[in-house]
Amino acid sequence: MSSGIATLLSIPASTSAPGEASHSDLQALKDQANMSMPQIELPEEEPIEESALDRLSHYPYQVFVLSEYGRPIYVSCGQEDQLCAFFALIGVFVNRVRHNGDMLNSISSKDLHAHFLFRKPLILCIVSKRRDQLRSQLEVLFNQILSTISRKQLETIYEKRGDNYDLRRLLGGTNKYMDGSLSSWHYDLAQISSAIRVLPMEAADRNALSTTLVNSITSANVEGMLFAVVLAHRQIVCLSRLKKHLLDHKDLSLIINLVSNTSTIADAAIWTPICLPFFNDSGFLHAYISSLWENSPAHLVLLSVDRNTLKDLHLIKEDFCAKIQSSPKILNSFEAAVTSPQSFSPSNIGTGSEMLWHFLYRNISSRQICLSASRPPFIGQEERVLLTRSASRVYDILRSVDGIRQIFVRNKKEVLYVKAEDRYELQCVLSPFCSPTMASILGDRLLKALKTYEGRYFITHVPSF
Amino acid sequence: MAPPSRIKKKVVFLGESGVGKTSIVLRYDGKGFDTSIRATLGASYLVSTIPIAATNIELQIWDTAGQERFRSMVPIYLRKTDVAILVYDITDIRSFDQLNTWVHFLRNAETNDAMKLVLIGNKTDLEMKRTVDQRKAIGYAAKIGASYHETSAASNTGIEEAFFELATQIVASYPMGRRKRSEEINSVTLNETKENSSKCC
Repeated sequence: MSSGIATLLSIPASTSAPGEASHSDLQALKDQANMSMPQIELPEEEPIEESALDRLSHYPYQVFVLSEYGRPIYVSCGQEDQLCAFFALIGVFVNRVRHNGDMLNSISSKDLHAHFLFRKPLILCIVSKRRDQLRSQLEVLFNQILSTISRKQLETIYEKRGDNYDLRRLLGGTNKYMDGSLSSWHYDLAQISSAIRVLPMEAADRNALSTTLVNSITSANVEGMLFAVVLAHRQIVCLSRLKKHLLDHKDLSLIINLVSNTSTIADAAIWTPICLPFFNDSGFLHAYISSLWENSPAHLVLLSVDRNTLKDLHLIKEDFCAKIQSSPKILNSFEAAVTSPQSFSPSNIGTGSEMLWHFLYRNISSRQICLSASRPPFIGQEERVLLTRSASRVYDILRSVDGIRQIFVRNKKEVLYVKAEDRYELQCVLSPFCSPTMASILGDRLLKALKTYEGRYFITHVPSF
Repeated sequence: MAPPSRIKKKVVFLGESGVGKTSIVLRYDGKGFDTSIRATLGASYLVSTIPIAATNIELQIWDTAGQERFRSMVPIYLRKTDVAILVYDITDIRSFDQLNTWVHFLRNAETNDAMKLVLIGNKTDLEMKRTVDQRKAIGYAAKIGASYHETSAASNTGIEEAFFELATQIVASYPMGRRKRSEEINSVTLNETKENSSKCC
């Protein structure tokens, strides 16, 4: 087992193909293991475990979920059964420290970082070559698990079924949502900012759409109906809610993850229980999910407390669709917004805009973000990944150091300018020739322009029914 | 009096996870076969209309998830069901043995009185890996009062026939013009369904 940890904690400098490297590397590792602990004989199944561990070292990150009793539940690369001993080791690390009345949070080496999260009865662990937002990734993954198994169920299941219960039986079929939750940290700036993204749309058009939605809901008058969300491309188009109830942004991002990782049969609707932990972590709501027209990227999600309301919610959707179809104005603006979303263009800020390459604005109270339309040099996938990494690092820095108001970093290829106030955070990537004064002027100009177009890029009012 | 011009029927697919319920529904719906199909979430609901002579049969199809955590929802999905389609995998004896659990759900649910039961053994393209004897399955179908079909969603065999027989039975259960109708049905629907389901990805 000790050779196993060595494999995971030291990344081999040369990344050769897993197949060819394994033999000689394995031999070297076995020799090491024999040198340090000559008295232990390697058991028969060790080679499988070792090659599985060897495989792990080639990934940029890996996430493990296990029960506090050490039973494997999930690993992001799949095939958790091959890694039983490694899971057990994570369990021992965490439990050992717990028995001393303390909590194991992280272990870091030069280029590998492990973070642990104990949420009784589960242990979550991430091992990553990058150090940003590791804890957040585990917390969001835990919320993802709670959306499938409520906290109440989770707390009682091991009491009912025994310590050895295999939680995968209850989680069956949800790996894609856990995978989706983890991978979103590598491309979705909304996830990285712990916020949601709003689909750009003229305020009047959005209002017309949400008014239509509220009308369909009120005329159906379904007992138990709580929230309605229209979304497309992981962005919110409009929302409405039952009076006195609020939908937390973290719950909303669980819904986004659910919808974007579910393949729907073109015109079929889905009816499923879901726990929204920030609304109520001990019970389930029932979600009706349907695309709004055939092959449409826009989906309607209706949430109800009553599991018998599918038919009624289906009628709301039919009514909503009919109303949209009969109003060319609403239909056209909605279709245009969904098929060719118009993100904020830096040219909106006037002179100097050619220096502003990219920005991310985050409203702290509404937890909504606005992103600039993509433009060179951030077009390709790799270039976009650089942006998400930088955003992720900035997010961590702003949270780990108190009182930072402005950051200006000049790199070889670009300038990074960050402004943080009580109400918002603004991150800009600018041309490397931009001076600090210029960056600050452009930032202010951008804030002003965002205020002017607020209704287009943010949802400022959520109508209730 | 002829059969009504529009008949609505609720059809529910049941069975263990991974036996191919969604693949059968997709194939039937003319969407081809997709190996990347993942576990169904809760239940998915779609409406499909089969025109049979002067009658449009609107099938409200519920494709349910086989996973354990959705079991508490099964009675909800089964409420007022007209047709229950039980699916098992002919290469997986466990999925066959578990049929009793599903039949038990059916017996205890508030289904419609004249509910029809269909048993489908799926994945006949994997005949060489078969672990469930066909005679045994036919016997079981007779015992629970179900009609029996074997299908392959992968190679698109048997699905049209199963739905066609079902639609015929539904129309035939209406009292008037029974014999004549079912003959008309033959000439009309075969063409219709063939066109629908021949698109493969």
